[in-house]
Amino acid sequence: MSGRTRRVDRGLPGMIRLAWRSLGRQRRRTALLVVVVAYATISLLFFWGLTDGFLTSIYQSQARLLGAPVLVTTPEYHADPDPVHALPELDPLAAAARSIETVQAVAPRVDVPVLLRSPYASTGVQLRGIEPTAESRVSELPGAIGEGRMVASSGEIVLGDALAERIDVRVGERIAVDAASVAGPSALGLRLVGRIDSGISVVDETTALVHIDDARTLAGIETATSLALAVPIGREAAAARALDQRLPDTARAYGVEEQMGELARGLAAERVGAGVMGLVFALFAAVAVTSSVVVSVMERTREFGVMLALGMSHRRLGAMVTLEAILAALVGYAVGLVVGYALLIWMAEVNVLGPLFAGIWGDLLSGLALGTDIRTDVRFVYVAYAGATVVLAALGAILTPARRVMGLVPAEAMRAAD
Amino acid sequence: MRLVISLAWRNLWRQRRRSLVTAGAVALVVLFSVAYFGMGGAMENSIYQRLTESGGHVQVRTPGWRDASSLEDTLIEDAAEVRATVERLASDRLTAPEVVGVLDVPALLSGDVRSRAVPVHGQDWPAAVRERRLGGGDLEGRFLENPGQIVLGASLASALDVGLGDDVYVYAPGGRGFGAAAYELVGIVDLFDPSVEIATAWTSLEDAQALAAPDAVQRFEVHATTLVRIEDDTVADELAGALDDSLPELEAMTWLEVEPSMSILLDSLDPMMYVVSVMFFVLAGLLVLNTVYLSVMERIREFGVIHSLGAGDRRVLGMIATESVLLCLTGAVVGTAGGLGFVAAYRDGLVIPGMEAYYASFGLDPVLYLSIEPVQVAFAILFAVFTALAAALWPAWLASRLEPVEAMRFQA
Amino acid sequence: MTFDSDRLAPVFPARRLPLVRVLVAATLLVFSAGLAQGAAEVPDDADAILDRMVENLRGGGQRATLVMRVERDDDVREYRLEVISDGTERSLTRVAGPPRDAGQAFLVDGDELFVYSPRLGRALRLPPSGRSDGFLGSDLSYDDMAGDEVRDDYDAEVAERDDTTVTLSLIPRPTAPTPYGELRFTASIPDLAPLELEYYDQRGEAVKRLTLSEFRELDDGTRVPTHFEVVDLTADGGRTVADWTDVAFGVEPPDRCFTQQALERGCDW
Repeated sequence: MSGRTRRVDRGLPGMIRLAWRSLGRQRRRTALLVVVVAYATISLLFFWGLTDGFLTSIYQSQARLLGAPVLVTTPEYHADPDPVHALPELDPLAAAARSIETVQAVAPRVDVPVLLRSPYASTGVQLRGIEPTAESRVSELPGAIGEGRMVASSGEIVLGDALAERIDVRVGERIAVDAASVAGPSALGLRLVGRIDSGISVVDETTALVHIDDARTLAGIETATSLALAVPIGREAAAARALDQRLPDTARAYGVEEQMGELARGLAAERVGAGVMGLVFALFAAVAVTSSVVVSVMERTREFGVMLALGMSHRRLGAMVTLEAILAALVGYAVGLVVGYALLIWMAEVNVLGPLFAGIWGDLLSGLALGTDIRTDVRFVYVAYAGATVVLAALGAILTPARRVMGLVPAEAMRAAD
Repeated sequence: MRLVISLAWRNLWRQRRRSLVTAGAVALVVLFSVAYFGMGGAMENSIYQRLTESGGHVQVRTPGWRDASSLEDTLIEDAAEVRATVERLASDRLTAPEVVGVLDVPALLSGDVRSRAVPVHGQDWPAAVRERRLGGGDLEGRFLENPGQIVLGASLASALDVGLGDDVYVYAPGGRGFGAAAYELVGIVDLFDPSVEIATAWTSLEDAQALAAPDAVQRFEVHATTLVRIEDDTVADELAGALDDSLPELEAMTWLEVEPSMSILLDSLDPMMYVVSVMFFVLAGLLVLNTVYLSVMERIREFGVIHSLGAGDRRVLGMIATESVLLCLTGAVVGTAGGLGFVAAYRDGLVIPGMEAYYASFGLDPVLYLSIEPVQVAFAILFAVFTALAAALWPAWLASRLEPVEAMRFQA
Repeated sequence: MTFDSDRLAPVFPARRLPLVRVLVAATLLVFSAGLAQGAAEVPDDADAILDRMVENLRGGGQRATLVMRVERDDDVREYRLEVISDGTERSLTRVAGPPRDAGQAFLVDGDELFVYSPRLGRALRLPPSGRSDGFLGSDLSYDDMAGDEVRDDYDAEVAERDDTTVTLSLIPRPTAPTPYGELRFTASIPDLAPLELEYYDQRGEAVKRLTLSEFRELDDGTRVPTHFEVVDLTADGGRTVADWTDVAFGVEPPDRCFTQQALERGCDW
């Protein structure tokens, strides 16, 4: 076969077919290489999806718990949370909210600063008036009752455990609630019907819930200070944006990120830290892939010796080896992308991680207000991250074995004792 | 024994390429694992830094401050003396510690027409502490320079309807100070969180003292800018203990004792890190196995030959084991040296080029402080060595199950 | 999470500011230090007795000097206050001593509250949110009694009765805006002058006691209490003692005494 190659095998397409056939002949070796590249891709995708999703979950869950998935208030209220900036009307705003597909429930709230008085002590808190049934569809707080029960009607109040301890009031006792409404000072006597025990200190120390009618009396308003909307995790920003279009100028919809305030700083810091870790991971993955290619080439030294002896030029051999590596890597990358994104999308739609983590880290998660719902993030940019690794690896792989192949002396190669 | 080892070395040396590949794989795995754990440590350290930056690492307060029902119950009266003690003990244990005196006065703030009840935060932040507090926000105007000035959060300034240069009236009766004063609004700070801004009113410590409690403070905070790693926190513990001893009428606490629920934040990344680490080590395992795969096939053929020449099973296995152990340990040593070298080089700070601006926009420190625990190093080494050993010994076992002739002809 | 230690460390509950409390107490005491009228027959019915007692708590216009001593643990403070009130909705209270606090003043006009401090140089209106933040305390007087709501919020019963005193037991109705479980109001017979008011929590323990004594007889025979004592019976309780030293009843202060100028400069009358 010296000096003459079949026409169909000349040129780049020909080389590719040669490389392809060669790969097909060594199924086990090829499979191993493809698996390694695919796994590297999948783990990188999963690293980013999990990291982004987890970090976001931690911070956004706080905002969801203390605020709401999406909150509708007047812009003045957002800057200065005082009942004097209450919403001007409720029904049109609630209707606009319900017109958004992802909004599952609408709960009006009246937040008003009050003084709680027991016979022994008094303390200032931010009181929240809720509509019990609507609120339980928007927030998990109503479900976190320790002793007693949730507020069901006027005349009742629920306090965080630590707060009730502080002013020393027991379930069944009455406390006085003083406020200064827009129309003058007002006061109510409310019976403590339950204590909240969430395990989250800021909740147990500052939560005071009453029926919305009582809060309206205390605040001197007839509407509400905010509308809390239930929106599935991950959809808050989109829902807020969509709703904003349909609201009049007097009100705005705020998603979780906008309610996060200074929490956003922590999230930004951790994202960058995770990014750096991802870099190490990616580099390592590249090394793993390169090593696989190197090994696979080294295994075939004898085979190469034969081919060179039979007249194949060094350059062609080098090119073929390179192409084999690239093709295998591409296949692995493609497989990895498909499987990886399938995994991410599944874990983003279905709460798989939550129960998994809750089994081992249940206490930690509930203390972070994470509950048992943890999702991955799915972003298109991950394709680039994973791709960069594969490219790096491919480069590494190409440079090393190909050069080595170029230096092979056929006779020695054929006799390679490895 | 020495004979066995030197024989093993000679064998390894004869198969230079194969030995290098295996040892190299182990070295790489250990190196990257150590670097990876080091980065994980850096992430935890940055959480630690964020948690300690607002209130300092150690605080000195009056006992029973949590249940106090009036301002008087929380006052440290002989503030100058106490401060001297705190500064002395802090300087003994820390490099360039910053001691901040704080007096929070519950007050009524008022503009021309509107007013709010807001605690006035009297402080004497040194420049570095002030930079950190302001770093996460935008300051319009300037910070406090002279007595009689005040800085408000943006939401509060608009709730009171005051602008730069306007007077802010502060009414805080019931203390031993003047009880009332008017301040010039010299700065408005936007902290990107209206609920924090609405309760932000800063004056100098002297002004707050004149207002409510001359010569007294509510607490001293010790900010130790050199404590950047969680493992350094033991110094804070020691300092708190020493302060407790020297100031028996007061209470000295670490930041964690001030707010124990913060400990949960230090662990907050654990679930995620664990899962990611599992993925990392599967990849590592794949790397080792793949690399050693080469030798596996050859080994089987070799064993066939050796067996057919009469060598007993045990001798062969012994040989293999010795060779593998030597190889893996060498690789592990090299990898550990490299990995620890990387962590040590960046222990005092790794800055990702180009990220400083991003960090600065959030008021964050752009330096990552790597750190690693011995247990993590041990785990990395053990994992790599164990995997490589298993991968090396498996073919020996496989070969021993085959007839020598079959082994000699073994094809992948 | 905003685990900023500043934010979670408790700023004291209720932000009690003693001097303001004192001023409010004085104001409310003034409204309620009424005149015990005559020796009419004391009815048997608890509600009727209660009505008379509440009536007695309403004074007309008055001007008085009050010396108030606030004791907490080992800390004692004494204030001298000058109070002018129209008996219904308006009152002006100015601090005459100690010198450090002198000149501070407090104006109540219906639901509005204004404070003035000479150092501040101007008057401040207490805002709705400021008020509800606990800026004011209100546990030092007849606050639960001042007004028609008493009859709506409480069920009255005669608990004890002998020749010289009668004690009513007032049980708050379920929705009454009070944290107490029971009030026991003791008055003298036959003029139903208030002698003692005891506040009980909802567990049967007394938590506060207000005692009135040192009755002085005025020219027209009416008896006026000049010594008030409020004792906090809880663990770290303190005591507040007030003495009326200079009292003119049944007067009608002019409107100009309830203006911002009066707040800042006093009212010459």
